[in-house]
Amino acid sequence: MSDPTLLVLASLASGDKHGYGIMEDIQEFAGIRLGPGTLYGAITRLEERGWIRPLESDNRRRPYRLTAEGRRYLQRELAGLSLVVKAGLRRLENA
Amino acid sequence: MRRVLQAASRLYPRIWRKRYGAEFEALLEDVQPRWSDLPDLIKGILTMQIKPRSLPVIIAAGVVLSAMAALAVNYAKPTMWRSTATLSFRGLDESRLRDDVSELAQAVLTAKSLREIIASYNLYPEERSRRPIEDVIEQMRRAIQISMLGHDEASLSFIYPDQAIAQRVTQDMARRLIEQNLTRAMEMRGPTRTQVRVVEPPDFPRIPIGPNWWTISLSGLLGGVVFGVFSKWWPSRRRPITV
Repeated sequence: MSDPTLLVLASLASGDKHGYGIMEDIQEFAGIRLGPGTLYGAITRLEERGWIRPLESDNRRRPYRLTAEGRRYLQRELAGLSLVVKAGLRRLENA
Repeated sequence: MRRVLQAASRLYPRIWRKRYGAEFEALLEDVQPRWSDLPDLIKGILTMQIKPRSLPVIIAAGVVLSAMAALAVNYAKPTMWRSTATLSFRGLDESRLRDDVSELAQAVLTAKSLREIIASYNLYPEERSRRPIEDVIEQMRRAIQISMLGHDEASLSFIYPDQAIAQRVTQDMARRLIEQNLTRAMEMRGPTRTQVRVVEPPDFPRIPIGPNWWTISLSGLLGGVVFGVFSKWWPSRRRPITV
């Protein structure tokens, strides 16, 4: 799972975060460091699709929140990936 | 590195910077920058620059970029000039005229003859310093053209990056062709079977034969269309995996 949009959604699933927070979180749970260009490319796309929304902030570090639509999309994608993971692991065990 | 990234981030579109600029700057202040962040940032900038543009605008940009690239490639190549002389061949035996012209041409194009011309005019100095003389001779052969014009005239031309040298070498080759014809007649101890004379002396080329502006324009146009279509298609094909 290296798709930046999914990684950002998965990061926001645990709570609101700003850009740097998302980057750190993804590195921690997935071991992937997203570059600044990739991260903000994903944030821009996700906001356009209405899957995340920006929150008010009193400083430049604006946090983002997962929307209900974004949550549904993430659940659907992860369920699909989970099927692939389970099937792959089962086949490896039987091989 | 951080400064480079901050400077590069100003290349994002103005609308994007208005919305995300402040928080993106804050992110660049927070992260420990790496060299790999620079290509990542450039890719992000290009995506954002291309994204909101319409296909004709992208194609136009692609045409300009491709034309500039084609121009740069052509600029790296030297401008080539062709000098041409016209020779007349009158033969006692009309049926053998073409064979005679071919024999004379071959005699002028021998490695020995071309080696002498190369040395006399100091042709291809750079190539001679890098490659064996046999390769340079072959290169010169490709720059010489002898073709029949009608039944008793032929054109002799030579292409070279210097106008004056192209003209002088063509003149020299025409002289060698005539001399070769006379030598052959002396060896045969009889009148020359074919009479060769210069009808039009080698011209001083005024119009270069390269770079080819039509090729540049067409390749720029084609490159732009391909770039435009690809730029629109590539971002849209990258979707999250759906099972």
